[in-house]
Formats: sequence, structure tokens, C-alpha cells
Amino acid sequence: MWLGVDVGSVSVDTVLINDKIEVFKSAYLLTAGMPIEAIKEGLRKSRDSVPVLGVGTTGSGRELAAVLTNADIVKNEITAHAIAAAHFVPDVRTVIEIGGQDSKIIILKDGIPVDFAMNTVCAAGTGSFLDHQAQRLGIPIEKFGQLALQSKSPARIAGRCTVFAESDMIHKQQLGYGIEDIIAGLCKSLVRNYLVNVAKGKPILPPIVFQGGVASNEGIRKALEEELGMKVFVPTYNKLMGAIGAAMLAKKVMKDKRKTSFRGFDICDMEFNTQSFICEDCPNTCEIVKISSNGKVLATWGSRCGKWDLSK
Amino acid sequence: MIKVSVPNMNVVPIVVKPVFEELGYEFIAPPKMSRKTIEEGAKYAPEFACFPLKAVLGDFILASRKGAEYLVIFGGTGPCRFGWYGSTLQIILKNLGIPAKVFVLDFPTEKWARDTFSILGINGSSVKKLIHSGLIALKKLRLIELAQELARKIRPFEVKIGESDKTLQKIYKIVDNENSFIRLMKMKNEIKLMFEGINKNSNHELIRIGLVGELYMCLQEELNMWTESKLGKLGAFVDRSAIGLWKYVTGDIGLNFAHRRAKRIAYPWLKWHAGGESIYSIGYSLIFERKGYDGVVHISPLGCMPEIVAQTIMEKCVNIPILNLVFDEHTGETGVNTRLEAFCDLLKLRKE
Repeated sequence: MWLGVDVGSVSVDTVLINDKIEVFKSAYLLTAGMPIEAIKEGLRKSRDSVPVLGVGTTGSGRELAAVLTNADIVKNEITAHAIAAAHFVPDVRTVIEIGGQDSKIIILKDGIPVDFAMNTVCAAGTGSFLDHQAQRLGIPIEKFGQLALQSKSPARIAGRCTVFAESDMIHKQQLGYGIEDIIAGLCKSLVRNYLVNVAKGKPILPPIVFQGGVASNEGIRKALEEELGMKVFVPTYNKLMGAIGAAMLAKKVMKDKRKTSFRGFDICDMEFNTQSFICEDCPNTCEIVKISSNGKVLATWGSRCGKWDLSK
Repeated sequence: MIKVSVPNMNVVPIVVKPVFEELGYEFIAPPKMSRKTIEEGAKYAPEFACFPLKAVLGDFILASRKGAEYLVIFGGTGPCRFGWYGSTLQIILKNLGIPAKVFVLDFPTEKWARDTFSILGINGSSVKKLIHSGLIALKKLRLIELAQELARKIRPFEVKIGESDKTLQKIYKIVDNENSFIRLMKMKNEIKLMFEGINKNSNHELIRIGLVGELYMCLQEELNMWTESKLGKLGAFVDRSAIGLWKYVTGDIGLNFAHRRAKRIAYPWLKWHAGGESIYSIGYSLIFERKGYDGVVHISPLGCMPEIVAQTIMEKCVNIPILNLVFDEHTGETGVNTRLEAFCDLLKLRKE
């Protein structure tokens, strides 16, 4: 079994896969601002008695997850997503990934990524914004997509920026538009925003794989298909693709290594303490984070000069 | 004694120090660039000014707090908005109530010559002494560029990660403190030995990346989030032959043949300077492609018109992967790390 951990801005996904890259056990949890607890809970849910042969971590919190699990490989989410997508759809040319706070596009050729782009400064059109709007409208996020599908004539919503989108939505609500038309309009504008800001002139060729948490939203998927004029494929484990990719990378890297450095599932019950402080020794004023368990410092990071780094 | 300072630009403060001291000024080195410099600069610069202007302004503010009365910067007519840096900085400093005077070093024109010689007259320095200090400065620049070149070669292979960066910092200090021309002449081998002393692990595949883009952003590692060093640590050999201080000085007066060649190669795509380093970004990217490099990293500040022109043309004419990195004072380091790592992975996977 190979373990993959994807620590994103909004969710923590853990997955156990077997040799044939079949998902054996998995967990999808909201971080809720406490990534360490979420990672522990995720591992508890995918805990199993079969031996783990390798661990890979990915996502924006990959360093943290790597320290907690003592991972064999730490990889960025772009590579992890590309590898997982190329496994499930071998001839994939475009991977569209929209997650909690970032969105990316990966262009592949013969199963190998050749180009990629990520949203730069703007988080409009990502999961967090949809979540926020669903909450504001009092709709559970799971029903968001289905409601959008019911719309006959979507409202036009400004998608340039979440703040403008929100005020535009309020305005349209006050004009008396139906809620499903507003939601469908929002989906459309978010897709346009994605295509203009992230995909920016990249050649989008079929087959297209759409993954990440937002891919569960049928409204966005439909808007994407309409805008592109092409069929979009959403894999079964769209939310777990990053974690699956990390586990696959662990499997690959363990070919050369004999024994995994995984700490074992016991870490679910271990206590981890984080401590942060600002180093005032130079004008850089780096924020240093220290992670320790049972009084033993596991890792420190954040310093530019390397003064606080533990020697490995 | 009049106190003079220059902005941080890679190793410029180290290099120009002997010249200013020879001219009879007291040289005030600006504090090493840090978060504070950038914050100071961004606070007072126009929001849509280029990132380098903000950094230079930060340097000038901090240097004037250390007592600098003359702030020297290249510029004049300049290749792009850079031509306005001198006057813009002077206005901003004046509005802040800082009495320091910005002195713009321009092309060797009649006015420039008159100004320079008038300075000579005031301080009683001779042309002979000036040439001597100029040679020292040149030697220092060549030594440091050699050290940086060696660091770029060794970084992908180092066993203990970060060792060549530490060696480089040590060399900066040694070169800065050495003012004898004869001893500087002998230092070349010493530097080579220092780098040979680093433990190397030679059995892994190397990817080769060419670095192009806006000069200041490429040279000032604090602004580009240590891109060059990070790529090295990810196992890539970074070729920075497109950009360098020596190249800049010689290229600007048409004496650098590599630069001329790059211009010639870029000619079918861009026939004339579009400002800044745009024509070199295109030319060198094409050269890197011809040399069989795996990829190109293109660095520019936010809103840099010349580099945006170059970026659009590069997308059309360069057939190896290009990573465009755009920086300003808000850029997060995590995002840059993710992109660099993913880019290196992409190049490695393509090679397999």
C-alpha cells in the first residue's frame, strides 16, 4: 500500500492505493484552520493494518505533512495532479484543476506535462469563493451545482474580482432574479475568469480532465463545457487526484529505496506542537516556525539565511 | 568629506567602492537588501512604478538615513522607464524631506565629462589614480562574476545543500576588503580552490536552464526570491550568460559580441530595441534553444512593458518550455517555489 497526503488550503485528502493504483481507503476533510489536526484525522480514517511501503505528500502544506509523516517524497501539486490525471486518462491533453484557493491548467503531451500555469494574484473562481457565496445565499455547497443546472436564463455577473462579483450578485438579487439564474450566472463568469486569467491563450485540446474540489460542482462543469464547446471529463476521485498523484510518486521513488521512512499510523495519537516567532537578528525579520513532538524539535522553517534550519 | 552611496544591484556597492574612495568621497554602502528595504521603497513609490524603482528607492532612503548626501545611479535617457528613475527618485526624496541629491551617471556625453572632471577638480584626485582605482573595480567585478559562475556550476551537485551560497558570501567579503591590485590579481586561483573544496555528488542527471529577463530583477536575488539559487538546488544548471554586470556595461556601448550576436538572432522577430532587455531576452532564448537547453526562465517585474513584448514574441518563436515569473512586492515565496519545482519536474520528465 502506498499513502498519499494532499494538504491544500481548504481540505486535507489522504489516500491509500494498492499496486494497481486502485483506491483502497481515502478521506477528505476540511482543514478548518487546523492542518495538523486534519492530517491526523485523515490518517486515522485511512488507517489500515496492511504495511505502508511509501508515503508522498503534496499541496501547499506538503512540508508540514512531510514532517508529520516523515514522507519519502515531497512534491508540488502540479506534478502530482498531472501524474494522476495521465494515469486515469492516458491520452489526456489538458488538465484543469480548480481547488480551494488556487486554480491551474496543465498541458500534457504523450502523458508528460509540457506547460502549466497557476492563478497569480487573484483567487476569484476558486472553491473558497464559491463556498462563501453558497453560505451567503443559504444554500448547502453540495446543492449549488444542481441548482445552477435548473436555470433557464443565467444572469450576467461580473467575474473579474470576487468583490465585484459579490456586489453584482447582490444587485441582481435586488432586481428580482431567481436564485438559480444568479448561481448559473456566477458559474459562467467564474469559468470565463479562469479561461482569461489562468488558461490565458494556452491551447486547450481534448481530452480535458477537470479535477479538484470544484469539479464536483455540476454547474461549473456545464459552464466549462459550454464555454469550451468540448466535453469535459471529471474523474471519479476528482477531489483526491493530488493525493493519488503523491502516492504514485512515492511508489515510483521507492523503486530505488528499500525501506520507507514513514513514522507509522501511530502519529494519529502523537501530540505535535507548533511554535512561531520572529527572528530579529537582521532586517529580514523572518517568521520562524518550529514543530516539535514530545519535547523533540522535528523541523523548523522560514529563515532566509538558514540559521534555524535543522541539519539533516 | 562628502558621503556617497549607490543602490544595491547584485555586487555594485562592492565594485564601485574603490573608485569613490579614490575620488575622495566617503562611501556609504547601502544596507544589504531585505524585507525592510522593499517595504520602505514600496511605501513611498508610486504603486504602478516598476519593482526595481521601489527597491532602489528603499536603498536610497536607508542610505540617506546612514548619512549619504549624494546618491549615484545609472540612467539618463535610459532603455525604458529606467531613464526616468533619477528624476523620479529625486522628486520622491525631496517630497519626503530628504536633502540627499540624486546624481545620474549618463552616457559619456559632453555634460557627463564636464561633471566628472569638475568633481575631479574639487577633490584633487588625478586621472592616473582614477584609472588605477577603475582597474581595481574592474578586477573585483571580474573576480565576483567568476565566483558566481563557479557557484552556478557546482550548486546542482553539492552534497551539503547551500554550501556554494555560503562560499559565495565569504568571497564577497574577501573581495570587498582587499584593495591591493596585485593581491587581487592572485585571487583567481584562491577562489577556484575554495569551490573545488566543496563536496560534489556527480552521479545525477543535469537539466540546463537559461535565465533571461529584466536585468535588475535577474541580478538582485532578494527581488527574484533567490530563483537562480533555488533552481540550482533543484538540480539545474542555470546559464546566466544573457545577463551580467560586465555584459551590461560593455553591451550598452556595443562592445559585447555575445550581445551583438543575440541581437542578430532576434532580428527576424524583433527588429529594434523595444526597450529594456527585451531584444536580448528573445535573442538569448533562441541561443539557448539552439544550444539544446531544456528550458528558459524569464524574470520580469510587474508591468514591465519591454519584457511583456518579449514574452509574447518568445511564446511564438522559442520551442522549449518557458517559465514566466513576474515579481512585485506582494509576490509570495511559496507560489514561486511551487512553480520552480514544477518547472524542473516538467523538464526532467521530458528528458526521460
